[in-house]
Amino acid sequence: MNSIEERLRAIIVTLGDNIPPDFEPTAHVFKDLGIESTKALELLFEIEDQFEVALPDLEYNDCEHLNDLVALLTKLTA
Amino acid sequence: MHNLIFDQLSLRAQEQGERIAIRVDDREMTFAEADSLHKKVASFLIELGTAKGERVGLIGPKSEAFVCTQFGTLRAGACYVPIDKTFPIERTFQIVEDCQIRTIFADPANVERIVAAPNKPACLKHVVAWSDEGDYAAGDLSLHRFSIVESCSDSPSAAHRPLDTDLAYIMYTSGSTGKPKGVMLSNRNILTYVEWCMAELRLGPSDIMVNVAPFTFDISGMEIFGMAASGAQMILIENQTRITTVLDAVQRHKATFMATVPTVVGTMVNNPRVFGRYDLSSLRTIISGAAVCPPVFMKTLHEHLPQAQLYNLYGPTEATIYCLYHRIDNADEIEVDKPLPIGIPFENTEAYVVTADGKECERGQEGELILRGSHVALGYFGNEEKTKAAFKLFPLQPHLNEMVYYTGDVARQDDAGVFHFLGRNDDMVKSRGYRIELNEIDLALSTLTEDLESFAVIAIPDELIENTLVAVVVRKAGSEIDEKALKAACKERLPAYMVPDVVEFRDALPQTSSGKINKKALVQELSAR
Repeated sequence: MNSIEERLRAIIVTLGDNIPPDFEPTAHVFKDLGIESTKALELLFEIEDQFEVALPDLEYNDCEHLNDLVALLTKLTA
Repeated sequence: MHNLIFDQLSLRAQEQGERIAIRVDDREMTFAEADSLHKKVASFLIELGTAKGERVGLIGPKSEAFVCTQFGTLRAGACYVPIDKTFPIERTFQIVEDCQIRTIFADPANVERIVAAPNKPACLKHVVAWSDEGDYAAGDLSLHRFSIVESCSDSPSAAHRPLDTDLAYIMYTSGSTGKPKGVMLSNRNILTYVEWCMAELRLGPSDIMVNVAPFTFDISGMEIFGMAASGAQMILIENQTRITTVLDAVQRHKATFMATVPTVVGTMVNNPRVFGRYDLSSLRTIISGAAVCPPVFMKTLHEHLPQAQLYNLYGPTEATIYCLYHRIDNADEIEVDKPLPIGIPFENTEAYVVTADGKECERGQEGELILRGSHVALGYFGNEEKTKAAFKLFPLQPHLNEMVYYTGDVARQDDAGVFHFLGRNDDMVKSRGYRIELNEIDLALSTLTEDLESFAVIAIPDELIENTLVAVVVRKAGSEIDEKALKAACKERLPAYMVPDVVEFRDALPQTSSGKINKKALVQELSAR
């Protein structure tokens, strides 16, 4: 089983063009990786589907980096 | 004497002082608090020697202090100038210089950026931090903390009170010469706009409006002015395109009113699970404007949210936010292959379609849309040439000696008198609701003389964001500039929304028979992909 980080990385790289799979975990998902911020919805649904969790809106909206998402998913799937 | 927009805020405070006027994150401000704070800002500016009509810069994220500073500036008889916090400092200073800003209000991050930057415009003297946090070496500038503002009197001198015809705010838009243009709007313009909002949208104290657009985007005025005029509550949302934030705010606060751009509407309808995940049943009015909205977006939105009255609004900044409206009463009947009309003019606005020689077009005939009435702006600040080119004598009755605004939009009026937008008659495009002169991007790229042999900036139509900006470039021999570096170079000179979305490298660009870059061929080729 892949780690939470690996699974999130795999989701994120599908949302933009030419995102290197080893992007910095502190890179801003929407500002630095060239992902349209309108794709926040796709990211949310994809994460909810793949991890079978309901992301709390406020906490999800506060997430900016991969590290933030990893921390949130770690908490939710614990 | 007219009740100007800041008077209306005070009236609301008298009527319902304890009700919430502004919410942002987990903070809230009542009408009484907003009234008091905006008056203190006015007192501060007057004590600082701010002259009537003087321009005051505002830069930072959305906050209740930002809103109160807008109203306070107006009450002090001055004019506010919102500046995008993401602008490169060079562009920020270009605006400061252009409209001779002496005082600028900023959040701590931007205070730091401004005081640390070299080559500050000589006109800039005072920086007011919207916070007492931070430790800055202000150098030649006078630095004022917001606690000083908050300690000022909430009974500012009435001697500075503006007339309704006085300048209220300047909104900068992209300029074809590479320099942004400052559109001058008056207190009268604001009132005219608000009168329509109140009459048509029936805003009232029970309404909760999500303020989605950035404050540097004129459509944000709908909620800011609407809050003061109606007593409705305004929820400030910082990031308009991170749509999960918008939807969460609507659901959490049971918002009744949302005005946004087609990109946001399109994102919602393209992800229909949105309507199951978020409870949006509180929305009674949804407005799409600032860009062409594909009819399928509105039709689908109506299917999911049948309780909401939908509007398609049209208006350039030069005619105060919006000035034509199409109320969608029969969304079921929208034909998805026919563009939505831009509708009919607001009260106190007249719209005409005219020929190149200034004659009114027949119904059905294409021509340039011109706008007349109390929505029309005062012109471009300090730019007589551009003002003369766009604000001209009313061609149908020149003896009135009255200026009308030539929009540059091609339109036609149908047999029922309804207006339809058909496109532009120049190089201006829209992307994500923003006006963009492609020439400005050209000028930014032209500074990369060591890397680029030739280039063309084109706009490729896109249903969701209206246009994708593409830079097609030919590198000089030996240059290794890549997409990331090229975008970074643009970011140093342009606002984020003007940085090309896509950079395509080629060995050569297609040429016309006269040897010019054949942009038309590039657009056709890239659109077909």
